[in-house]
Amino acid sequence: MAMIRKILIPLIALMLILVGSELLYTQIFYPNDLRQYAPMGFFSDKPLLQQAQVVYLGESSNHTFVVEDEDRRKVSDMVADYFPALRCADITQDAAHAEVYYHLLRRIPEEAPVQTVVVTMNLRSMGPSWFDTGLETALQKQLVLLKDQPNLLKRLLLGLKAYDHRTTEECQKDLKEYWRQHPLEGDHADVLGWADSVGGVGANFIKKYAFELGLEDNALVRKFDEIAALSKARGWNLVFHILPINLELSDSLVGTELRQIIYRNRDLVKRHYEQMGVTVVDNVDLLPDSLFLDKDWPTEHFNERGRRMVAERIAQAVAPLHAGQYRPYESIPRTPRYHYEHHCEDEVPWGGFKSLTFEKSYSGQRSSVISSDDPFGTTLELWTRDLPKGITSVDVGCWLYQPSVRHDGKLALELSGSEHDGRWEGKPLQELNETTGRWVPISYTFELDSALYKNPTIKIYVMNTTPTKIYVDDVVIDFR
Amino acid sequence: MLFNSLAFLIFFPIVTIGFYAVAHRFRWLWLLAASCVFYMWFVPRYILILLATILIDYSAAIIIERTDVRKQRLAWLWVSVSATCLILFVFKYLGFFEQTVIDIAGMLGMSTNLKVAQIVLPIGLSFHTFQSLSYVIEVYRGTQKAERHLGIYSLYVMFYPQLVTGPIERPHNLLRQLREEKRLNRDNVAQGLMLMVFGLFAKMVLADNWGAIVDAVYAHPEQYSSLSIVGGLFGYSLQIYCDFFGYSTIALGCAKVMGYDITDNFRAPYLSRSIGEFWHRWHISLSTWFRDYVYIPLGGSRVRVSRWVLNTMVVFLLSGLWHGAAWTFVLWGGLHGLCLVAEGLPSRLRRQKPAQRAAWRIVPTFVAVTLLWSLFRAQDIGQLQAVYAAMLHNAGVGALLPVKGPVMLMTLVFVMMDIGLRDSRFDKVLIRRSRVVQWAVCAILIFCTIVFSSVEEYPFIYFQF
Repeated sequence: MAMIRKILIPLIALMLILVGSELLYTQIFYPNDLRQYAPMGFFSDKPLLQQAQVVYLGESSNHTFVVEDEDRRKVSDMVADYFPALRCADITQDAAHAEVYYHLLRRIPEEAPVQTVVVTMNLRSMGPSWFDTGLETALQKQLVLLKDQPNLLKRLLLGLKAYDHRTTEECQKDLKEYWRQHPLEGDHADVLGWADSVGGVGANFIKKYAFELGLEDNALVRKFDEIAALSKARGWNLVFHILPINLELSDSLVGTELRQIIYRNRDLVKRHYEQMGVTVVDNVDLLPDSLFLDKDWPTEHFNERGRRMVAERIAQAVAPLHAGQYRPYESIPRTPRYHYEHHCEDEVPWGGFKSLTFEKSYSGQRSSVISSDDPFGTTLELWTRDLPKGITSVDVGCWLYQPSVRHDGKLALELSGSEHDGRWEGKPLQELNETTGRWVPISYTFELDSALYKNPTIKIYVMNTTPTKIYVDDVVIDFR
Repeated sequence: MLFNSLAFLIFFPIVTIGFYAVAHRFRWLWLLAASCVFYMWFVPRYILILLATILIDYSAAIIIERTDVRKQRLAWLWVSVSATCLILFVFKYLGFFEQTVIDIAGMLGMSTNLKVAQIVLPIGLSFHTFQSLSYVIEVYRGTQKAERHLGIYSLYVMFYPQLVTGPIERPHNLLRQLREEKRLNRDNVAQGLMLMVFGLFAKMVLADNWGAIVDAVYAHPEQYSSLSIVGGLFGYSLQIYCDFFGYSTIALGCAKVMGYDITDNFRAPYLSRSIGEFWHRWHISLSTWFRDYVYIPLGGSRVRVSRWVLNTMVVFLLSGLWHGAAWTFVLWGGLHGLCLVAEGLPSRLRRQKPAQRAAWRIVPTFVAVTLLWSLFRAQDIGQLQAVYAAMLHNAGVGALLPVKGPVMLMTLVFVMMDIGLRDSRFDKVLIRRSRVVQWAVCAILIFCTIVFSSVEEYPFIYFQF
C-alpha cells in the first residue's frame, strides 16, 4: 500500500501539473504565440474565414507587387467578384504548399458554413528543389504550432527547434542526392548535367520542373490526398487549381522536352484527383510569357491580366458548385471613388500588407507596424486616372501608437511613375501628435494641384526607418 | 547534439536508464558509445581528431610513467603537448595566423601568395585539448597514474556532459570517478534534474532572448539611443553568463544524475568585487587550468613585481587567445590582465596583503567586465568603434531597447536567485526544502522555459571555442 502511495501521489501530482500548465498556456499565452509565430494559423481562426462560404488557399501567385497593375488585388479577390452574394475569404502565405493548407483546413470548425475550398496546386512545389531550400524552414516552424497536438507540447517543440531546419549546405547536399537517385527517363537522365549544359535561367527551369512525379512516394501528393479526404469528410466542394507555368519562356530556353515532362506530371495529378471527385482547374499552359512578372527566375507570379484570366477560369469551375451565384465579368461595377478606408485587417487594394501585425491594434485585431524592419506601412496606391477629376486636396486621418518619439516616422504622399518630376512630401508624425504610449488620432491635409494627373500613380503611406516600432490603424483617406 | 534539442531530450533518458541498467564493468563502454553519438551528432568525421588527441596523450602518458630519466620524461611531455597543440593550431589558429601574416606583409608593402585556410573549427576542440593536456602534465608531475585502460581514458576525454564546452575536468577528479561504481540514488537524480531544469531556463529563456536584443543593437548601433546601447552592453553580459552558466549547469546536472560530480564552473561572477575575484568565479575550470599549468610554472606571484606583471599578462593574453582566434580576443585578455595588474600593484609595491574590498566595488567591477565583454562580442574592431561612437552621440535620440516584459521579469528573477545563491548552488539549496517546494519550483521553471523560450536558434557561445 505504501509503495502504491509512493508512486500514485507523484503520478497524480504530475498529471495535475501537466493539465494545469496546458490550460494556463492555452488560455493566456497560446493565442499570442500563434499570432507571432504562425500567423496563417491565426488567420484561419478569425471570424471572416470561419464564416466564409468559399475559402481560397494560396501562395505568392495570389498577389502582385507591380505598380503598373490597374487592379492590384489578389486572384482570390478577383474570383470573389464573380460571386457577389457569397462570402469569400483567403489565406495567402508566400511559399505555402499542401502540407500547410492541410493543417489550416483542419482548423476550420465543423460548424463553419464553408461550401467550397479552392486550393492552389503548384507543380514546382512537388519537386525536390522546393523542399530542399531554406524557404521550407520558415513554413516548418509555423507548422509546429498548427499540428494537432497539445499546445504546451507544440510550444516546447518550437523552443527546441524540433522541425526541419537544415542549413543551405545540407539542403544542397540532399538535392544533389535526390537527383542522383532519381534519373529522368529519356535523353536527359542526369538533371544536373542537363541544367549545366543549358545554363542561366533555363537551368533553373530544369532544376525546378524536371522531375518524374510519383503518386506513391511524393510527400506533397500525399498531403493533397489528405486534403481531398478531409474535404470529402466535411462535405466541401474541393477545387484544385494547377498554377500556370511560363512554358513559352521555358521552350525558348530549354526546348520542348521540359514541357513534355511538365505535361506528364500535370496529367498524372489531374487524372488522379479527378478520379477522386475533385474539380481540377488546369491552368498550366493558360498564360503567355508576357503575363508573367519574373523573367529571370521560374515563378508563378502574374500581372493583372494574368491574374484576371486565372481568376476567371477558377470562377468558371466554381460556378457549377454554386448555381445562380455567378455573374459574368462584364457586369462587375467599376466607379471612381473619393473615399478610402483601411482598417489594417485584410482589405484591398492597399499595399504594405506585410506590415500588418497582431502586436497591437486600435480596432479589430491588427494594425500596421512600421520600423526599420519594414519601413513602409500599409499603403494606398492608385492610378491617378481612376480618381475623380478636379481633386485639389486629400485628407488623411488615422490612429497612431508611438512608444516614444524617437523615430523619423512620416505621413507621406508620393506622386510618381512617369518622366515628370513627381512629388514626395512627408509630414513628421511628431508634429501631428507627440503623445506616446497610447493610441491617438492624427490627421493631415495634403494640397494637390493639376500636376496630380500628370503622374500616373499616387501613394499615401506612413514610413519610418528607425528601429522604434510605430503602429497605425484605421486609415481614412478623402480626396476633395 | 545540443542540450536544448529534441534529440537530447530523447538521448538523455535512454543513456541514463541504460547506464543504470548495464553492469558496472560495461558502463564505461555504454557511456563511451553514448559520448561518441553525442559528439558525432555535429560533424561525424571530427571524431577522428578527438581520437588522434586521445591516442597521442594516452600513449605519451604511459611512456612518461615508464621512463625514469627526467630529461626523457620531459622530452615525451613536449612531444605530447606539441602534437596536441599542433592539432589545436591547425584547426583553430592557422587561418588567423595566415591572415595576420598577410596583414603584416600588406602593411610593409610586401605581397604574399599565402591564402587563408578555411577550416571549420571542431566543436569544443579547445576544451578537450586542455582536458587531455592536464592529464599528461599530471602524469609527468607524478600526481596522476597513467591510465592503462584506453576505454576509460577515452571516456575521460569524451565524457559527454562536459565534452564540448567543459567544465575542463582534471584527471584526479573525473578519471577516479569513472572507475567508481555508481548506484542509483534519489538525491543525485533529483539534484541532477534540478540543475538541468535551471540550466535550460538560463539558456533557453534568458540567454537566447537577450541574444536577439543584443544582436539587434550590435547590428545597427547607429539606430539606438545611448541608453539602449548601454542596455545592449549589459544585455550581452547577461547573455554570455546565462549561456555559459546554463550549459555548464546542464552538464553538471547530466553528470550528477549518474552520480558523477564535475567541477562547478561559476559562482555568481557578477558579484565580484574585483577583476581578480571575477576570475575566481567565472569559468573556474579554465582559470585554475591556467593557474596550475602556466602561471605557477612561470613563477606565479612569488617573484619580483616586474616578473609578476609579465606572468599575469602572459596568462591573460593566452587566455584571450584560447577563447578565439582574433585580435579582439587577445585585446580582451590583455585588458583583463592589465586590470588585474592595476588592482594588485599598489599592495605589491607596499609589500602588503591586499585589503578586503568593500561591497560597493561590485558595481565598478561589473561595469568594467561589461565594457570588456564588448570586445568579446564585437566581430571586429570596426564594429566596436561603431557601438561606442553611437553610444557617445545618440544621447536622447534613437530607438529604445526592444526588450519584452516577460524577459525583463525573468531576468529579474534570475538576478535575484543569483544574488541569493551567491556561493551556494541551486540544487544544493533546493534539495534541503520539502518535496512540495522542490516540485513547485521545478514546475514553474519548466513552464517558464517552455512558454518563454526563444524560437530563434542561438548556438552556445562557447561552442566556437
